[in-house]
Amino acid sequence: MHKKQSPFISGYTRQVKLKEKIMKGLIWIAAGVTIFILFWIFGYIIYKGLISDITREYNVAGKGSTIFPLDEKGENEVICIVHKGIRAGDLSMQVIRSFYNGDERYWLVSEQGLKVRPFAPEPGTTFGQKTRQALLLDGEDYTRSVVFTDNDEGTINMVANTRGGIGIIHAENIHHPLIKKVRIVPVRFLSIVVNEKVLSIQNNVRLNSFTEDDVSNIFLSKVRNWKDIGGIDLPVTVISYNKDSYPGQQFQELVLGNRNPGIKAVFMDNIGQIGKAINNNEGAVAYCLFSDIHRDFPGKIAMVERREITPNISAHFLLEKPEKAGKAGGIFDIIINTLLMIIFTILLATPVGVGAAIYLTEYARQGKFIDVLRFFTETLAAVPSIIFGLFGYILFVNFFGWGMGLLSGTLTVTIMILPTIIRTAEEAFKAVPREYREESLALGATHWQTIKGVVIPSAIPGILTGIILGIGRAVGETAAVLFTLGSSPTLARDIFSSARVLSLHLYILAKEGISFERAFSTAFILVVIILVVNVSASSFAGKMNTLKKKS
Amino acid sequence: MGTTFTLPKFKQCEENKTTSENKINMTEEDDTAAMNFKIITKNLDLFYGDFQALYDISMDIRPNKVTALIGPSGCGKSTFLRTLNRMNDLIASVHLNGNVYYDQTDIYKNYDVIELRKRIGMVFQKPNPFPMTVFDNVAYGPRVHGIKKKNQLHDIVEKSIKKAALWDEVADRLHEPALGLSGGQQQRLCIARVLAVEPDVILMDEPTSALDPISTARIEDLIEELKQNYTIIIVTHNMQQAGRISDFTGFFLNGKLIEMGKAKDIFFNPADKRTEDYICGRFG
Repeated sequence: MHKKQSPFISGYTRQVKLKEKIMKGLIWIAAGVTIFILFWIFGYIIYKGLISDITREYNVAGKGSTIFPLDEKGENEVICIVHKGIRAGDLSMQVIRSFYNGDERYWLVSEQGLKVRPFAPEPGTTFGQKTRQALLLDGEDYTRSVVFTDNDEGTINMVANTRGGIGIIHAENIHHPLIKKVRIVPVRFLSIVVNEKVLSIQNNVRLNSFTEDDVSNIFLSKVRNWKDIGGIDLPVTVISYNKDSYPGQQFQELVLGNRNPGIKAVFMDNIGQIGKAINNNEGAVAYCLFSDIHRDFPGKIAMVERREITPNISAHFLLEKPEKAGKAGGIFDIIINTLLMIIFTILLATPVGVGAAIYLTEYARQGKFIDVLRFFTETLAAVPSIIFGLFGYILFVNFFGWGMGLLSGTLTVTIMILPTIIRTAEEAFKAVPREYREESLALGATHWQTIKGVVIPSAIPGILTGIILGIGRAVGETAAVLFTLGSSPTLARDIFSSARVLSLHLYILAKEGISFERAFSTAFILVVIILVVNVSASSFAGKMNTLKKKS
Repeated sequence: MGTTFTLPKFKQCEENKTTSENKINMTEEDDTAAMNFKIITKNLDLFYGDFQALYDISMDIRPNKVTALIGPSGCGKSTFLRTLNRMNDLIASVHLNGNVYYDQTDIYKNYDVIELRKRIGMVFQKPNPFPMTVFDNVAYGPRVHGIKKKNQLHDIVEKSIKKAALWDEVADRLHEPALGLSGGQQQRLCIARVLAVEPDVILMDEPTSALDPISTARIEDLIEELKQNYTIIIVTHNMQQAGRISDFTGFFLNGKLIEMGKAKDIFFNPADKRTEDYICGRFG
């Protein structure tokens, strides 16, 4: 009786079930793709926003060293000190040179807009002479902003008290009592030099730069021919200082690392010999101090890539004002501008939008006209924001002559988010049970008393949802503010002053190629703001739903 | 149909018999009592657009009595009730002919609607406390009528809730959301809210249809108490309820007032065959 039996199933049911399975599969695929894309986008923005991972090319290689030499003999060891406010992790000799010869006037290497204030020892002294030789190419002169100091203590004091200050002092003074007032920055000073031929073009192939691995592979004789690392077909000749010479030891320690075996190479004693050797061997590669390379040096400096992974968002980024068109500093002013715009927008849009919604739901006689009005409101909510921008530009900026500024921008964005607020508030008013109105009226309240006393309080969660959605739209707005709010990256002084907002800052950073890293960190802040806004919107919406359920 | 209809015998039936016979001489032609009528409708026709919902309703409502309106769904009893405090004004398509007098004043001609609704309060089918605290719910009416002083408001609220027999249950929950009360409590709260406006007449539109039997019994007791001070007109689907609580009963059918009279008469000696059929459950 209880023999196992397949359950009865008709052919049609089987077909239907098969179809269901197929549809289910398709739906799962669609959902999977969506979820994947969502996670990917969010993950990417969060990753790029939090971590800056860039590969930069330098004409020095290896790690930085706190103590570095002025020449190959290593007799004059020095340290580089900077003002406490400078955030540079390390500096390359080339950057230091550019500070002293005037090529670079701002601390952009540490993403700061501060002016560089270089201090150098009096060139009359021996130490001054040596420093000058090491810092400048022959024929170059100190830039006019360089201030000379009599001794190391003077330098420390000056650097400690000058924002953006940088100075060079003897390495012996690393334990000087005043040294705590300044920051000591490690300096990278070893360059890789090659024969010109190595970097030349042949058969459309050219070696542009080395990776750090390339460098150690070359000097550990793992690369025998330049074509192995993407260069031309040319055997590699490694030239080196003697192992126990000062530069030899430094190279072993800073570039190769002490764990690696020593290098096999043609060994030389000084820069002159190295120059000659490079000149004589077409595939030659060598290393030397950056400061020893002078104009008549026969080799060429090879660029070395370094991958720099640093946090992309810091307190400084959030709390400093932008400088140098956003290259340096932070985004504080821009966040404030954004908040100002949002506050003004909400102050303008809420009363108007809620008023319009009250009219549409409570007072207007429902009919064709109101339907048409509602339809246009809905359409307006979907109109691309650039059109609002154009409209605002013509009306507020030109016709009223208010210029690009907070007033024009705010009004434009207000008009843009009004439809959203009106529609959401209208829905909220409609969701208020009819009985509330009837009960209130039956108690002898007037229409307005009913709206004020019962309808609006019950609809507040919905109205807030609309406002928050409006904020979400306003905060991400680029096109509408491009023409009307302007792009001055400073804090708005009055209602007519141009003020850049986050989204526009992001647009400009990316479009003008100022910094993709900073564009991403701005994007991250923007996403966080929108996320916060959305989460609060849904929590308000949730509150409204529970309210409805209870009643 | 073979079913026999038995009206539950409650005390008030007996009491009403004596009081009504002594005080009010209830006959259709009695004009001397006209001055005592709280509400009088004369030849009332009501239309929803082209559809006529009420036909020629003439009815007299006596003060301090419970008048029940019964009839099958869609017969116009609720519509009629809503004409008495002009709630039908809210529906744009409604228009009516005839007169409604409240205290000898035509409410559609010589009465301000706000003033009228203060005098004639209404309790709805579903308890609908506003989404605010118990206190604010009851204080809502006095507040919209301009009472701002806290002491005064508090007195009114307390008095009203006590009158609505709810005080013991909510005295310590005055400042909690009213939506947290049970259905029966909510309905009594709604009654308290109406009482706070100090009306003269209370209209009740099936006030117990959404409640459980126990809550219903409490509301019925409450109605019994309230009629000392108020004139109550109640629409109900529940004939037993009409029988239990009403002094006078009117039977509506298809927009017409078929029969109106003392509850006892309507339930035991209906003059009209249709009334009898309805009461005996032959249709409805």
